[in-house]
Amino acid sequence: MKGSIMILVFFILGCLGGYFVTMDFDVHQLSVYVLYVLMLLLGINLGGNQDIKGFASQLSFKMLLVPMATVAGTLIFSAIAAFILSRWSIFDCMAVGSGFAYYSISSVLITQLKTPSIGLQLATELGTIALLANIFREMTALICAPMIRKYFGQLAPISAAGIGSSDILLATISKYSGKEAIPLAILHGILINLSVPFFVSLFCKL
Amino acid sequence: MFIFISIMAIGALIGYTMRSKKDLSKVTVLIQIVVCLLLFILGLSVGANELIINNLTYYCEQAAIISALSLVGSSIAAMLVFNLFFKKGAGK
Repeated sequence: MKGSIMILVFFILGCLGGYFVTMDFDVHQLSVYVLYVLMLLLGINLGGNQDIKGFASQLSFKMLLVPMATVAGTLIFSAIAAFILSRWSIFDCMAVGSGFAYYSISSVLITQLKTPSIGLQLATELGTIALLANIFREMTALICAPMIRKYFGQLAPISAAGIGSSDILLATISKYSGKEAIPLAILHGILINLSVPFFVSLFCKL
Repeated sequence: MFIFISIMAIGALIGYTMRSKKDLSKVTVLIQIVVCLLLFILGLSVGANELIINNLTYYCEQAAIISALSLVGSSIAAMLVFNLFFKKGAGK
């Protein structure tokens, strides 16, 4: 939660900066380079995760069904959003949904990857929607975890959390879904983490 | 598309070979900083774009629709998986 607020503060500071200060350098080129650095760091973090081996013994094949459910449920319902938001195509909405609460990467990726096909203006708009939608998702998953647990069962807080199930929401999940859900939540977060660049770029290309 | 995934894979290999080092925990802090920087840069391009700034509620609405639907969708799917495959084995 603290992380979300800090990121939101930086985003708002950036908005204010962009609004009041005229920039004479290529902001998008800069963001691509920073994104490369971030991807490298995320990879290092993932590869260096000490917990992976310890949890490996508790993992079972049917645990893979949970990230699959997250992906399927999110993508199908994101596609439905295209019928409400006539401005965007089904694949645009699915690209936003496939951020799985990973607002930083998904918003920048969408802006980058959509610029060649729909132009910088629309791509920035869709990137903004992706940023807001995925921040909303994380915050709602965090705040509404007890309700999600109550109405949708033990695994729902993990799926609702998306990428956050292995970090930001892990404490919340352990509280409402039980300690035995922790290995599943971590596996879920790692797999969804890996799927985000894949699905976002896939739906941006379609 | 492949550049991003391959950079991440290279990172994972680096992380795997360095996983015994304690410095690796600093990576999380670095990630936090880079994410903030990235969002600041994203903010710069959003803030400089008058069309978006003047229609902020309009974008919040659309974002809320997509996020609410994806939350409900993934929760329903998780409920189905729980009822079909986990109910017997998993304790409360």
